[in-house]
Amino acid sequence: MPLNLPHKPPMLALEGDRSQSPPLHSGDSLVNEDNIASAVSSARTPDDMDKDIEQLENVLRALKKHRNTLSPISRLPPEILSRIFSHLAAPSLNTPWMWQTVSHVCRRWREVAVFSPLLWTSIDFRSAAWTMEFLQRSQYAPLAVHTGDLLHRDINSVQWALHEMPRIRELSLSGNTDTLERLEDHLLEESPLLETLSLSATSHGRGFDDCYIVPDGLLAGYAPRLRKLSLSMCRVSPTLPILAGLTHFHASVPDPRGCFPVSDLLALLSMMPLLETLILEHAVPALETTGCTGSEEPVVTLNRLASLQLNDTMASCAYLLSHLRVPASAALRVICGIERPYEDDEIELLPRLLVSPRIERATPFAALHFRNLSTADGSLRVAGWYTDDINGDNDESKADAVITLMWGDGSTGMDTRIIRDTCASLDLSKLQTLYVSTQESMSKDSWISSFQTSTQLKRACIRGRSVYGFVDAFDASLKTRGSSFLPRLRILSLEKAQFARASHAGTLFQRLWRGVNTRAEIRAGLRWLNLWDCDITGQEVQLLHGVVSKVWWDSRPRGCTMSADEGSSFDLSHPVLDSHRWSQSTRHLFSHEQALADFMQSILAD
Amino acid sequence: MPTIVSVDDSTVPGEGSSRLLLLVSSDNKHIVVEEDIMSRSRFISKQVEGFEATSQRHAILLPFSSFVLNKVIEYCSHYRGYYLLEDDPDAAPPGRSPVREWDQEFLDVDRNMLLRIIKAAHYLEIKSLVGSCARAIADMIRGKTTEEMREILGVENDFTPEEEHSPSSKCTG
Repeated sequence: MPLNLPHKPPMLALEGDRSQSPPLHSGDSLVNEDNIASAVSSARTPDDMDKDIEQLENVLRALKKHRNTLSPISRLPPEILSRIFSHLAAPSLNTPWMWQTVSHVCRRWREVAVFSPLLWTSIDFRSAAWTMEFLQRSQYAPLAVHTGDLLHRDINSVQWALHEMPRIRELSLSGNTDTLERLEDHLLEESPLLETLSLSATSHGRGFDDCYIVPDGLLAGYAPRLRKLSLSMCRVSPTLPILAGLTHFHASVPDPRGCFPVSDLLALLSMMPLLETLILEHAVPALETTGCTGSEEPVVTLNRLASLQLNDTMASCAYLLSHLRVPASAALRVICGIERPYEDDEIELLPRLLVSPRIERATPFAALHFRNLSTADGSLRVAGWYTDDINGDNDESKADAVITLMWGDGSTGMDTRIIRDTCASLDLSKLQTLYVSTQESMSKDSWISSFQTSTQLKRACIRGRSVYGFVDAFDASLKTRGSSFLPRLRILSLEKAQFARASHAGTLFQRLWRGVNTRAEIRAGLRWLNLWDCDITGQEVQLLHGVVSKVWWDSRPRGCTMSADEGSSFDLSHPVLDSHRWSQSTRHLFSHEQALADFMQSILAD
Repeated sequence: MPTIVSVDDSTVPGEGSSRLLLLVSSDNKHIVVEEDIMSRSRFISKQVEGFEATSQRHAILLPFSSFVLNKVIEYCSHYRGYYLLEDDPDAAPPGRSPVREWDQEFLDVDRNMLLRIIKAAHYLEIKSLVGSCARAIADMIRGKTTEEMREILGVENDFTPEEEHSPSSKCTG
């Protein structure tokens, strides 16, 4: 006996046939107890019940479908729904492809997703089927083809994608030279929509010879929209016609082997007059310290350059800078690796990095005011501004020039020597912020000789072994009243120091206490002292309270180690290279409490 | 299509330094607003052009409530005089709307209200508001499972078992 439904399934009724059953009204129910009782009657066969189940499932689906049409989200036009999905489809490292779950929500959402070409333009290479599906669903929309390492890709899938060169807007290929050569035919096609091209050859450590030589017929010379070109272990000829429109050029090699002979690189840059961003990482072979100033090569003028980033040996950076003429407004970021054994004359190149008359500023090096200096874990960074605004923003991301020297950990004596030599090479009279965390102790004399000119310094954060020599300099320098070691220092943070540690001049606490007192006497006292993870007693802190306006101490008992949370905040592996972590490390110093803002104001107004 | 009714001059004082429009919501609330404020709406701008052609003032009847309309007017008032790329008919369509802090706060409303605002913005052709709403709705379901998305937005699973496991669906996540 079939289930006695009160009327035909709503799905059918919705499709227009309403002749055989009265319409349901609000409050009416499809299901009643009589129907259920008859449906589960023992007289009914399993086949009957299967049919009923199928029928009911159809009814249920029809109801859900109709219910969906009444949902507010379903009343949005498809183009709006597609727009919402497009936000979910934005590239994300954390949730790649998660957006596609929207197509499993309901029929309409799937329909909208599948027929929104713009959602399928970032081609997926996880499988050949996926790649084909993306290519088809994207229809004629411009594509973004980022293959990742071709070693892990089905080369046929990549070739299918590259068949679409005329509509590719972003292309990024990364693989060994053999694989790149296999795909070369596609790279010789015209690309009217291409805006970004990135080619990366896998390194085998053979330097020059291992570079992928980009064919001269790249993109058939026709890529009118190409603006960004990134090459890693790849070399291009300066004669390529597509270079003229570039606004962004990035050439990199994993280590100082170089991919371009210097003359080729300069010739290449001379073909890019519209460049706004130039990034060169070990692009030229390491130059010798001596002879790096030779100026046989022509100078390249880049009038529109807004950002110049160099990562190379000191000699190579100095050489390249001496051959580039860029606007004074161009932000300069230089990272120089210092080779071992360290030679003193290497640092002597430092001033030459910026003193180059090729930069359009009369005396750029002298004009730069270095306001921040930080050093830790085998690196040192200075940030300079052209404006001499004593209350200016010290945010390094806005600095006119940031120079980083890297020499790595574990070289005895290098920390102190490089800091001392660097400070001797630079005018640090406008320094305002100092962060030092060296692996080795720095003597009192080194401290004084390095920072004796930093008479404007207001904030310092000294960590670990660096503390002892610093406190000695802090204590000793003012005994004569004529000395001027950091005379305007007002905010000091000492971290990871043992205050019971003694030298001939007393314990660390006694030396600090003397220094703080002497400065207070001559009205040059500290206003804020921060003691973090230091081995110091509460009684000693109380004494310091008497002479410093504000003492902040983490109250850590002797022998206590930091918790995991604190460790993640303050145990910096490389704060110098990472401004975010730098700000984290010093947040307790510069922004620990709201009151500090007022406090800072009072200092700045002083 | 919107309904346009003629109104008296006394209803819409349009001879001031800034011309005024009369907007009538679906709950029959009359809202007077400066034309400048609503110029971000392509729909309103086209209506106003029509008025100028006929030299007659009209009230513009809109198919959404005064509550929603007031929210839209608040948005337009905030950005009065600002250039927003998304609203520039001559600019290339942006791929995705930029995040604007004020918008995030402005759109911190319940789901249904958000959906009503995006519909109204779509109707009024305010692309920047559509973009911001779309982003806000996307943020509501970002990273959620299919089931969670259905729950958040009140949608039922209406797939047949075959559709749910169709070969094509394997390519959709």
